[in-house]
Amino acid sequence: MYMRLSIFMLFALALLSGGLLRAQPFTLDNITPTELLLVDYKKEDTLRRGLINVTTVNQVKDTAWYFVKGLSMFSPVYFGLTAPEGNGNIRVQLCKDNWKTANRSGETGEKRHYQEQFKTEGDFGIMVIAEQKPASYTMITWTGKEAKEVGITSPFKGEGEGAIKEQGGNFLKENYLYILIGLMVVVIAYLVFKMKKSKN
Amino acid sequence: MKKICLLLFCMVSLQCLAQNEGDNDVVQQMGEDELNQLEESHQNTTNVANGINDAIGHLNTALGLYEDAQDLYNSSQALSSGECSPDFSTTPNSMMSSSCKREDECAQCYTRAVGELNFIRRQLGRLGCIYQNTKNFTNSAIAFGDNASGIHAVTGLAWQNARGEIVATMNHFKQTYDNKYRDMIGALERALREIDKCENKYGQEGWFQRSGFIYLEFLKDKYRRND
Repeated sequence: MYMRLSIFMLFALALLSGGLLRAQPFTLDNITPTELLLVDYKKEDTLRRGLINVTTVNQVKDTAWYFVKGLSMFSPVYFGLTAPEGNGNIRVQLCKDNWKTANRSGETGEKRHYQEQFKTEGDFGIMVIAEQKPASYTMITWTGKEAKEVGITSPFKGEGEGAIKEQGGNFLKENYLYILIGLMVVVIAYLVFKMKKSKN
Repeated sequence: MKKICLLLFCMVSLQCLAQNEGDNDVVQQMGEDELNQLEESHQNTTNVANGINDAIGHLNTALGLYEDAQDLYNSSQALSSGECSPDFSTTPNSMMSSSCKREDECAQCYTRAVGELNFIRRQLGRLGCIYQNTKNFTNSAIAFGDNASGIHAVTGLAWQNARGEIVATMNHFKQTYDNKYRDMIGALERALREIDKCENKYGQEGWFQRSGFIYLEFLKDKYRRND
């Protein structure tokens, strides 16, 4: 039952986050970005398993646009662009809302490599500007499995034994007034009893 | 008729001449099988394969810095600073009591029910963020279009049509959100009823009325769309 519910929920969220509205950064320009499709990767490896896209490009235009979709806010994302020797500098911009505003940017430079690591929900866009054409490069987009611990705190007042111990420790502090009144009642009752006894 | 056909033929020919092979970027995406084969062989000597191996080497180096996937997730920041991050905190007034200690026999019953509750909380958090992000995206797209349409090629009526479509899609999205919200709140109540069953069996009777109900109302309010 739980499993079925989980699958249903994931499917429902996938539909919702699958881009009813968004599938790439917004633009008024006539830009048609290429979708980078994610495929299964290293199913048996606990760290590396997830989804990956490996794309090789020979770019002859100044700017190329790509986008990746289907990402979860609970999964880490790695993006890397590597150019082989003999290529000029390549500038990269990662955009979320629109192509004019870069959320992350950088260039391959002398290392011939640029990389970013982040988390995001849904999709993001990649803008590649080649300073020297033609430019050949390889792009890798990897996303891991969803993390188990995402900061969900317990909704329970003092979980388990610790809470009970804490309650026990605070008992005297919280109820000292009642204990004092109780003791006084006992003392008074004792005195009244003594007085009555001595009269008799 | 012949003239029209001739004209069409000429247009197609001209287009073919204008679109040389070298005028377009060449983009090749690797499939799963292709990728597996490449990783297994490690014997490629061509420039392309070396480029891919270099890129995969960088990925492995980056991932190798972390002990496990959780560590990697913890050290990652959101791509956009304005991106929603789910808030799973509970106000002290809405916190629930529990009479089950982890080592007791109730633990098995409890662990399963609480696991289900936390799973739904996680999905509700994600749902809320998807809505918030989409709303921000739509608002920023409309503001961007409104500002740019005066100076951009897409002006006047064209932008107004596009704007209308964006607003209509957002309205449809709101309905979808409400449907998912109802489904998830239903699932949340079922999870709390499961905890109630455990409490009835091992702890307090009437737990749902005393604690579960307040928590349910708290989450209903937290994720209800209010625009």
